[in-house]
Amino acid sequence: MIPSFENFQSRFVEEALDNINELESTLLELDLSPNDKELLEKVFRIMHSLKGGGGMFGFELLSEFSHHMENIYDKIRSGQLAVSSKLLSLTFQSVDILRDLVNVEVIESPEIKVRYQEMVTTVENVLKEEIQVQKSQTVNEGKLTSPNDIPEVTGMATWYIHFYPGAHVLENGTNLLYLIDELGQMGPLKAVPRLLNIPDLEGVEPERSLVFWDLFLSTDMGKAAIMDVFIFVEDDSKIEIQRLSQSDLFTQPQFIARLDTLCENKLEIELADLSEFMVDEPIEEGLAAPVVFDQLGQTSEGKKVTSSSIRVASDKIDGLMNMVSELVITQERLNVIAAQHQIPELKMVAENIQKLTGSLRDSAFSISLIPVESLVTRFQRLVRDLSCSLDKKIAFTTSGTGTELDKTMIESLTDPLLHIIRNSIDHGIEMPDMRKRKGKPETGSIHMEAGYSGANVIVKITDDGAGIDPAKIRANAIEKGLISKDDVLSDNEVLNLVFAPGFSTSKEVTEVSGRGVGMDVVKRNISAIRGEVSIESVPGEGTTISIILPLVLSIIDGLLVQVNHTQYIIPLALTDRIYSIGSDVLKDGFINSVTLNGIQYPFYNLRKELELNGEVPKRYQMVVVNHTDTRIAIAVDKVVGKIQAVLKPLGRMYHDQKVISAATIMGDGGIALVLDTNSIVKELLNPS
Amino acid sequence: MNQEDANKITSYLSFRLGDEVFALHVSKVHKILGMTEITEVPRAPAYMKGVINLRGNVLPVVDTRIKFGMTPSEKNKSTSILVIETSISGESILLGIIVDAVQAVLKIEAEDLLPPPSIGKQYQSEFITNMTKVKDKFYIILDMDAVFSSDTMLNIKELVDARESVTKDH
Repeated sequence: MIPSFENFQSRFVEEALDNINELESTLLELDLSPNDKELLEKVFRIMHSLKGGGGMFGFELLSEFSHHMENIYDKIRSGQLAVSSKLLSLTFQSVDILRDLVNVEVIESPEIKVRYQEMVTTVENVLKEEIQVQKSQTVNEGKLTSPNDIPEVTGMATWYIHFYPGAHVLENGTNLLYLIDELGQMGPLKAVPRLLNIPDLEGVEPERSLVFWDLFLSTDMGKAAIMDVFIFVEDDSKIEIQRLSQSDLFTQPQFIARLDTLCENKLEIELADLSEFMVDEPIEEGLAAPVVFDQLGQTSEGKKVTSSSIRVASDKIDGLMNMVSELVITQERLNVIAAQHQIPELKMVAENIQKLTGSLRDSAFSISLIPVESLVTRFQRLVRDLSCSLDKKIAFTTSGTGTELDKTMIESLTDPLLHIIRNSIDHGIEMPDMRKRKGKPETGSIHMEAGYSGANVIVKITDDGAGIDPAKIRANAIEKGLISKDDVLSDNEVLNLVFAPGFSTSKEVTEVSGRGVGMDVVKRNISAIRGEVSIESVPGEGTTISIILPLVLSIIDGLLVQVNHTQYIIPLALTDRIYSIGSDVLKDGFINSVTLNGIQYPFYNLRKELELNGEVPKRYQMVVVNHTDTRIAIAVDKVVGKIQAVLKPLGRMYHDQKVISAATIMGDGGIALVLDTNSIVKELLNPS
Repeated sequence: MNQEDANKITSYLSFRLGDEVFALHVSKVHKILGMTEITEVPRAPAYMKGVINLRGNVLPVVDTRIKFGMTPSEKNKSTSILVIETSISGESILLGIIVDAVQAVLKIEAEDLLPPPSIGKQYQSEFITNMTKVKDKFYIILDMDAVFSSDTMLNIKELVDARESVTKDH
């Protein structure tokens, strides 16, 4: 690909969107701890790079807008302004408009210009207001200081800066000399380049940065201003800033002379050599700890690891998955041929290829999995925005968000989860005064938990709100004609009526939830990805909604079994063991239960349940299946063997088919049907 | 093939079910296969015969005779599976339909297409796109999307009646 401006531009857009996402999650953190200096810096830095990049790549509005926001955060971090919820809300709004401003199609539209103007006016107004409000507060509260902040000394000072640019810092087009020029404009500067790392000429790689600097600067602008000069390179570089003196040392001829000799004689400057000039600085243990902004591969708060990850377009991954599927089918074909011809060499090759395809398949899968965490920011944002507009206090927490799901599944899960959380905020969590009266903490909690359970992923949303009263549900369901007055239902069954189509408890349609789409849509969306959803609730204590999703992968290891001439596949991960019993054992008996090796199992006779006629074999094979700690036995005629099965959907014409979840093409071109053990267990244990 | 191109084509494939002959626009027909082994999918409506392997994909196959209220298909030399494209609730799917025999490709110009009998539901005219006359013989052109979107069984007798009522009018 020829690097072109468009290319750079689209790369900038991607990077900018990443930055904006990071901005959003940083703001959410900042909302919880508004005095965190590091988070503020991060917000500022993101605004700053959006501004710079936007200007460079032709997104003028983006650049202008982030300039406004940058100003605000500059004021905050320099202590002229404090973080307030109003400012945060404003910044959240700005996140939305920033997203639009990097969208090439959107910026062309006239509406965005109007929105942009409105937003800028709002920003200016809020800024003015905040300054007014906070000024009056400052008068009352005394001087406004942010914690963890070394009181900024204004006035002349001499600084020692050790600037060690990372090797790759030149790759984004930075000219380091400009940075040094910029420093030079702040006051008298002595820059000492260090050439220690420069190899012989043939070893020089022109794209790498090899020089580092010792810089001495006298300025009255403070440390933050110095740091700003390095803002674009600080991620890759090592920068140490140390104040030598609270005066301009360059006025002392001895200092300059000492510097000159030091630079000539020594390869590296040690601050101890200058200690005589640092009289007015408190030096602890001989040397004050320098402020180090060292980000060379370092992790700040476990995040932003310089992990070697790359971006890949999702259709490339889909393509890869398709090819792996084809490969698996072809490989099964090879197995069939190898079994037909008893050639030892061929068999060995076939086995090796089987092993390789297996691991290739697994790694291809792991590529297409995304952690649930990728959804969290959106939910946090929803909770924040909505609880603010409803005047409720809600803390949103998560656990187990490292649980991974297929990306298409994550996509189809987003809307249902948003809806459930919206419901919890709107109907579940009570107003703060109400909660107080009930003896609950004022701040409600919504917790999202994700985790694996056998071959399933379970996502639970729990709130500690008002809960649901089964009596109300019942009354409503009778009114809507979903059940009749005489129906006897357990509380649990009643609760699950909320998923029935045409059920909406809310009397009036609020703006937040109950826009005609109810829990039935949630259920439908989740059923579409073969998941299940259920609800538990204790009135007064809260509600839990659980979503159980099958870890459906498009290729599975399966156990191939046979009834009559049709072959079926049971997911191998779920099979425990296989017993052989006489077919007469299953014939009589009213309860579907069989004792195998001393343990009783409920059993599912595939021949009988699927109404497959044909001759009953002398012995059945009982395949014991473990489904979320429930063990059942499935009776089949014959166990054929192990197979890697590429799952192909049966399609719309079989959409009512519950027990068979998919089909697969066998090595000999035939078709085997994949059994959905979830449905079988459910059908066996809760016959309806 | 987009709709405009499809409309320019005046070819129709005719096939036989029992004694009756129907026609389908060729743009709907993807392939003609001989009868092969069909894997039965349990717990499906009787007319859903099963699935077959169509070049590495799973193709559902319908026993058209059962769907049209006739006795089940029997395998013989002329029995074929037509792979047709239908649109069911807006989703385009491929479907195999078993027919007793594939007959011919007919050229039917637009002006030879007659409207379905309008006498109402009794002839199940919602399943009929057009009627047509080729060389003094009348054919029913079926609306496959409608046939397979609905769970109702068709009645071959009513379809025959529908054709005969049109035959009489002309």
